[in-house]
Amino acid sequence: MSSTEQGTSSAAPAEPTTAPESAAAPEVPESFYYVHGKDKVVHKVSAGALQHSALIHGMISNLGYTEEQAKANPFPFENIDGDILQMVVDWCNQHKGKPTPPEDTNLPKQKEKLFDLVLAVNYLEIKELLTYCCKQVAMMVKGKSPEEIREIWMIPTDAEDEAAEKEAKKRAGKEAAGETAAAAGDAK
Amino acid sequence: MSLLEKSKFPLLKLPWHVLLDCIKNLDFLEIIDFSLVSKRAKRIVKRITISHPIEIKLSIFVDGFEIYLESKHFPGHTWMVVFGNVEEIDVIKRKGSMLQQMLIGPQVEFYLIFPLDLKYFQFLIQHISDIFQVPIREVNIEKPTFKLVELICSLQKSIPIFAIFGKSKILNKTAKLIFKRMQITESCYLKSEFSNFFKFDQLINCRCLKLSNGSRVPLNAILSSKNEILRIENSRLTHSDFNSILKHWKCGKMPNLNYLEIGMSQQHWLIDDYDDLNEQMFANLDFEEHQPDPRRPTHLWFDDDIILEMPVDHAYDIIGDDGSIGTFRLTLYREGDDHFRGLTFEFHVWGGANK
Repeated sequence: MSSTEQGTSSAAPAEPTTAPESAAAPEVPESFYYVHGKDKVVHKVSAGALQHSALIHGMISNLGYTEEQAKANPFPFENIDGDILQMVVDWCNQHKGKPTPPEDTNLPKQKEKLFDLVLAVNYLEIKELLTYCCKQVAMMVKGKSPEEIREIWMIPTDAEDEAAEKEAKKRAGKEAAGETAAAAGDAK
Repeated sequence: MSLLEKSKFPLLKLPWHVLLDCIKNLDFLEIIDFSLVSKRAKRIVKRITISHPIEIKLSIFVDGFEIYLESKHFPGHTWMVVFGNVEEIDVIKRKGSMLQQMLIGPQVEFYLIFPLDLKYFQFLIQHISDIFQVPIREVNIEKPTFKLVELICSLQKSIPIFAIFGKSKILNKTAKLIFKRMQITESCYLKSEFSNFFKFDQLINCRCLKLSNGSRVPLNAILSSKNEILRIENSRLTHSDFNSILKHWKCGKMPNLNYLEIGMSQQHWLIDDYDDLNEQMFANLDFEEHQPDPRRPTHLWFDDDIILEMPVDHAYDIIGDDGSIGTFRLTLYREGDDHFRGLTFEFHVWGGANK
């Protein structure tokens, strides 16, 4: 049912027998906002669906945009891939105004996509979806051995970690030496 | 499998709080597996705050070792790390360890199985205790050897609950280690026999102690004990020893004592005359028949699982010099009309400042 239809029906004369329904206050037409990701494709999302995102909800709550203003100023999320933002928008629409179920099986199984989704969801502060995502990440290593866990989650070995740490120290040392030399040059 | 499905998930590149949330979704055994991946993985696990405290218990059998993880937050669930003969267990599906799950009635058990290896068992106990940041709560051992007891002593400064559940005889050297060096804080149950060379000159100083083979525990060791609950089976004390215990307690000695139970079997004591027994036991003591009192506790906890019922019927009270009350009872078990089977002396201290 569209917002216009809702508005029309609530304006109908009140019938005494159906008082509780017809006497309800006219519903405010739902407002929409617009978001786009890295691909610049604009998605129209209702304010109700966007309530899942603490970040966006915080941004829009004080704006008081008209439909035209919202359309003209889509929220840019340049750090989120278009297909990932689409997933997020779809999830917010599906769970608009509904209690979130304990499990969500519609999350991507592909690890790369899931990684990008987790980052996006964390950035947008969508708490429930982040909980599902973390569960999904944990599911990846169900029944796996430590060696398999290392491979799936790309965890370096101790030797690799030590080598990386040495390398980082070396780099930091070089940078510090460079800065000192530059400062000495400036002083001259 | 598509290329994408084959691809990896760079867990360590996640924001820190998200990474911790992912790890929190693993169960205890999965967390252990993850912590074994690398030193960095172990450090991550140590940063997780587990809202529901867990308990670590060990069972050491002759042919295998088990580490149990339990949480009151998950009643009926036990996570077990089992070290056993892998040929008997099943085909090893994973290199080094194997995960299994078993539903037994209302209980669910999860297993992580390793081949029998004492050194790795020791490493893993310390590792698990370290990552979950909880000490070992309980150690149960079937047949303690000097090496095993030394290992237990090396794990942490003290063990709250310790039990030997096998009946085999313990050598003098091992017994000394248990009695002199091991620090047990809450309860200790020793079912085993002890070498004839071992002298029970001092009992283990823990809250609750039960000895199944107490035939060589002398009266002095009992009188100087600091236990709150002391239970000795197969004792060779005499009825006049019971009289000494009551008198000793009455004048303020054994201040920690809350409950004493001494059992005897027919092989250690032959009774001809019950009246004579009573006379010697109650000699020079003021006592009266026990009257039920709502202030008196009816039960005491021996350990996490065992509750003791305090004697009420056919019991007598004596008053200690400090005002506390000692309720005692002597129960004889007979077979047929006369044949003596056994005897139990129970003594419950209550009504004092701390009881």
